[in-house]
Amino acid sequence: MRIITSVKSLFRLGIGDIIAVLLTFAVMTAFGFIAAKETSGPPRVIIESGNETYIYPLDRDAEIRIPGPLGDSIIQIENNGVRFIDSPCRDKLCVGMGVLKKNRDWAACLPNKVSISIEGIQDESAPDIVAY
Amino acid sequence: MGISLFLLIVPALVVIFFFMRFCKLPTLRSTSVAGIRIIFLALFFIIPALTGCNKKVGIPYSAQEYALGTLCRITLYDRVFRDLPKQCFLEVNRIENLMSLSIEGSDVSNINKGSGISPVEVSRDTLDVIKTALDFSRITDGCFDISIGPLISLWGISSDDPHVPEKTGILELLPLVDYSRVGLQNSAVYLENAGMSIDLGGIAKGYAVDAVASFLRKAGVTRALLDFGGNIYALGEKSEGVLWRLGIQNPYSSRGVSIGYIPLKETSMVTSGKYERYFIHDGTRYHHIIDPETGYPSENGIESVTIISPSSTKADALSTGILVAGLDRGLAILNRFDDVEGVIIMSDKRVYLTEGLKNLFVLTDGDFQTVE
Repeated sequence: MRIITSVKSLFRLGIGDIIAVLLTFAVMTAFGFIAAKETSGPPRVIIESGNETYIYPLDRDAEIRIPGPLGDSIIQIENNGVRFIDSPCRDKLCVGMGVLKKNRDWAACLPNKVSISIEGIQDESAPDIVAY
Repeated sequence: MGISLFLLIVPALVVIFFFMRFCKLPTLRSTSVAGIRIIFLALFFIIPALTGCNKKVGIPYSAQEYALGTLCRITLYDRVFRDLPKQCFLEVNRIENLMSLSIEGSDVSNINKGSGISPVEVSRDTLDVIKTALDFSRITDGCFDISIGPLISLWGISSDDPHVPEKTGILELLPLVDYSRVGLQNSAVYLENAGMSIDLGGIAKGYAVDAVASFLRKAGVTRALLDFGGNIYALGEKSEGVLWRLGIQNPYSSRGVSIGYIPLKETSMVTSGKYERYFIHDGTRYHHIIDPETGYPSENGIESVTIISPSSTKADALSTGILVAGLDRGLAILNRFDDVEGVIIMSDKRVYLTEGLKNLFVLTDGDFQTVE
């Protein structure tokens, strides 16, 4: 009998236990989702300048000035695409790279050390990487 | 990404917090505490496994840095130590410091300063690259030639101010471009004539890619993509039994747009394209790959050459050499290798493939046409 009672008592959970279990489930699941979303997730623009990284949503139009060693590079997000519209470099190759729309697309202003890339759009038929 | 680790540690701390707090409640009996402990332990291990850790391709960790005159990006698909990319970039910087044309005191600038004067002792790495470069100069019959230095600086190709030089200036410098006058004496390099100079721009990036790939492999990395300014290396497979899809740039579209792809593993792919760097003068487009024979940008109907080889150094040198050699000569050179394949895109959008790629290449852009 004593054994049965002690086994029963194992399952006798107080209100605190239930709250703890539920909260833990909720918190772990929420964090789990955030962690999983990080690589797929909503499409976003990653801008890197020196040691700084800026993240912007791809679906919200914006014009952003990012400081670099030569001055400000101007980046425009429009119609789910992103591009350099100006940069304080000589040859403007970054502006010539045009609009980025696909996952892992990137462009960079080498002289001003500013780069932009897109993350988070999944395209099953696209290559993993492109040699250029 | 590194943030993911953080995201797993935070909930773990939350769990411990609640555990500590609620276990002190008087309603709990000691036996039930043991039960709770079991539940928590189970949650602690199971939930992270369900949400994040069992994806087919692990959470990629990507790092990038400017080196070798371009943006170098390393993407790791294994869970690795965070400072691994940093060590890779140290290796890249080391190579750049040896082989850069512009860095004072680099092997290359020392060799060029000693031209016509004396042999210059160089590092093992530089010597290896120069030896390989000279091999490929012979193989491509001089279409790839590291002694192109004087013409590159005359055109201002690597500078901020590229320009069309006078024809007489080009003709004067042409005799200085001759790989057979790059001499090797043990671990020293000697340029026979004053005014000669070498430029490893067409091969050093490939060497750096190979060095980093081999470093990562030794560090136990099984899946990674390297992209050093378009020189790419696919380490391992994308996931078990799934190959990487390596795309080939559309020469007429913005960067990252491909005409098709090849499913591959454990290989490098390097493209040389006339579209990659150019300037326009009086309505004419001048690109950055100079034909060592004429002294002018190579014009033979080829728009780009993509080389696939386990050695990125080889692929880098060959892609430049074949672009200069032209279609027929280029295909003939490629056919001599067992471990090298190539894709040549012509200005009229016809695409030529080497034999080994004919059943592998997937064309996705209908504007282009493969030639049988």
